[in-house]
Amino acid sequence: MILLAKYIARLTYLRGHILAPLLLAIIVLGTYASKNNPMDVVYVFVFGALGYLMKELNYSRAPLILGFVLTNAIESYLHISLRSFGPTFFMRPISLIIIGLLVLGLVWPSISRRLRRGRGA
Amino acid sequence: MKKLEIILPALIIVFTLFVVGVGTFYYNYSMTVMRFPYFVGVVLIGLSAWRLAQAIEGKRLPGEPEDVQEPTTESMAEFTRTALWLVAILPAVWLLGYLAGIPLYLLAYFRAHGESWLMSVSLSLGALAVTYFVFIVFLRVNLPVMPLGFQ
Repeated sequence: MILLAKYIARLTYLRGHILAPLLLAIIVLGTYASKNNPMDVVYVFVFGALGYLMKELNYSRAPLILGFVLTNAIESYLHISLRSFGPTFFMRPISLIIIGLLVLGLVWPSISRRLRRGRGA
Repeated sequence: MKKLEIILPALIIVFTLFVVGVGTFYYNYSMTVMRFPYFVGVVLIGLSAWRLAQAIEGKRLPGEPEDVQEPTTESMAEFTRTALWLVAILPAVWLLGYLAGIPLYLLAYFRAHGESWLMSVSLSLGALAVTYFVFIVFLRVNLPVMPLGFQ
């Protein structure tokens, strides 16, 4: 595949109205082929519409995808943690470190903005 | 755009309440099963309510463009035309089956968008070959090749 990358990259030069229906056909075929369920093909369009709406309204699409991929694991491990360590499982050191990193990730954009503003003033 | 900015978070709140409500009142799932959906639901509803309040007040998120252009009649018509063309693949594969539906859909699409007969027919035949050889022969997928979803 790496050897073909140069030629595959040329696909991006195709005009949108040629590329879009070809990709759509492959997406529809691939979606149906995965579980042989026609409803999956309908969901492609439902989520396509949702994705378009999110893009137009400046909602980030990546967290939605991450949520879809990770939710099963998160739910399972939440139940395992609750059974093993009880409701205070999040007070364990490793949990506290992860929570700390998450909070830092959440507040970092506003902190860095303020720092930049402070340096600029 | 203003309407959509209000409608989307409102829809998320209604959808979340509906899903959690169905689990609680219709399926009568226990608290053990529902605690994760409740937790996610509360977070989702809280964030959506915050976004909804911002949209109603007309505030924008950091980094969000201030001057969002309102769609014109022409751009809406163009959008509707494109969306209908994309969605048309669904009735095409259902009515004609995957083997005939996909190449015929592509042929119609390319011709309607001003491509030459040569280009349209070659791409459609290519799609037919990929559908048949890759998906049916090589991957042995049971595609509904007959009209109306019959195999």
